[in-house]
Amino acid sequence: MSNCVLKLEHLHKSFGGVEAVKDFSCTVDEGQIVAIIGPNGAGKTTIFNLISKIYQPDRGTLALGGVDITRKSQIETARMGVSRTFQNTRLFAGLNVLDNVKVALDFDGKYSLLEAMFLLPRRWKREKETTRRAMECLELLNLAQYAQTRPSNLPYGIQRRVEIARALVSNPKVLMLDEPAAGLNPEEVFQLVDFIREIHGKYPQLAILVIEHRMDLVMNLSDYIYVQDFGETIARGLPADIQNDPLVLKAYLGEEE
Amino acid sequence: MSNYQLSLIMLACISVITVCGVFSMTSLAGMFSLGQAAYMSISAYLTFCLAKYLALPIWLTSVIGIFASGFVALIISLPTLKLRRDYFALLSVAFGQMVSSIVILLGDYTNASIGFSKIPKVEGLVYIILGITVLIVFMVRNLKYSRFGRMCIALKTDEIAARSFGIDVYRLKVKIYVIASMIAAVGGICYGLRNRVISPDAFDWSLSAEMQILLFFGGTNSLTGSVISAAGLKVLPEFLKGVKLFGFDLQSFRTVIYCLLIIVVINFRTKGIMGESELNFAALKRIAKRRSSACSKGGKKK
Repeated sequence: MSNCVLKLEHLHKSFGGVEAVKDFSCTVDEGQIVAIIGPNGAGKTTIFNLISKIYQPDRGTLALGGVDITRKSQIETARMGVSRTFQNTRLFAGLNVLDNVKVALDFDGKYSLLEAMFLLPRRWKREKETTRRAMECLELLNLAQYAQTRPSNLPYGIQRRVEIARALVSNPKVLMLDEPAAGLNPEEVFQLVDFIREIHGKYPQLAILVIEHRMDLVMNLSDYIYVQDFGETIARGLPADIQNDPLVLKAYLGEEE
Repeated sequence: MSNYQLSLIMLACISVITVCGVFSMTSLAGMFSLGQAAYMSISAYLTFCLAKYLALPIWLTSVIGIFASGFVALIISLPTLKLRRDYFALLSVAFGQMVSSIVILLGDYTNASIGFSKIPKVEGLVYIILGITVLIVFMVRNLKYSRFGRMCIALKTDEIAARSFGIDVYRLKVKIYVIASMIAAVGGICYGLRNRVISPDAFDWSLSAEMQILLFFGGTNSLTGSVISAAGLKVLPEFLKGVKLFGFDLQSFRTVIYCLLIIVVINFRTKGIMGESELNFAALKRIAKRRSSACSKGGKKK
């Protein structure tokens, strides 16, 4: 069996009286695409926010590549290789596409404020290195032609891809995609599935975690599926099993009267 | 050049220095402060008081003054930058007032509201100030186009997203705040050297507010725009001197004119005159190209 990258055990999170996530456990292996599905309000995004440490879990543990990250901050977790996109794209509007990707490498830019202000040689060298890595990533994902464009001038589908490129450039261990198909038209969704497959092919080590509404996308893409409803895991398994699970159908389609 | 012209140049330069400081803080990192004049005050008083009472050379005390301001900025920023942006802006006003009252309380040394005027004369001051201005504009420009500039713009747009890319928002803000305050400190010393007298009133919150206004006028995200507006708007009232309109002396209406100009700009160009674009060689080339192509088209029509 391949290496387990992300291991979540018995995660709990409640907001006031609402238990958003109840006893969620999950493992993601290297090179695996795992999907979390479920209707609105099922606590999917909360799970993502727990993994990326925007929220701290009330109970339970998280481990990344065998290291316990339960008490790590959002910044530390990101630096350890958990990278994500957001439900509504959150590209930095003031930066062009290239800079948006570069900024994901900048926490580790390896030159000081003084070197930056006086244009010392190390600044040039490191900056060149950052640009090279960012351009490589953009080229790999066929986005190089948009490098100098502001994200607000791009179609939504491309913005989504740029966001994924930004999350990928730092070579993370886990890539989390929060509803990547939200707001896309059917054709764009189709392209997105290809795009995620492409990423999967080009980064064979990368574990991908997807939150999604659309069954078709999930069924095509994922190796393993968790189904959430009202914070609880109601089913888990291979896509084919999930498709016929009566509990899942009930949650999605409602009960027969 | 006459002394008057030289002093105008220095006035413009000092304005550019201080606005550069505010630029790195507000435009890059999105911290809105109304207390930056306090750092001018701290460094100016420290520099000239130390020079007088301890008989130290002015360059040495300037260095002490600048670093002391940086240190105060560090101490102030550690608790306040944890707050939300609006509370931070409010606290910065309080801090500015606090520094003013401390200067008055230490009246035995600072001569309180009458003003401290034992400031040595420096030869060739205009060249020194011009040099410092160029250096500071250069430094702030480099800051904008470095990884720090990018991270600042990122955290200004979206702090949570910035954190999820490993950017230590709080530490970066503290760093930028200290740098901005040290730049303001440089401006304060230059101000003292030019005016030969400093008083707590000169560094009150209205000066801090003026810096922000100049910045927004020039373009919230444009360094060249801010520099141009800082120099231009600061010198503008001097040209209104002696000009009379309908029997009113325009000089005495300068605040009104200022405010009208600003209201017009904020209304019709919400992002300031230059918006986000920078004036650099590439932009100049583009404009030249457009004009020449427009000319050639016009020529063909004829």
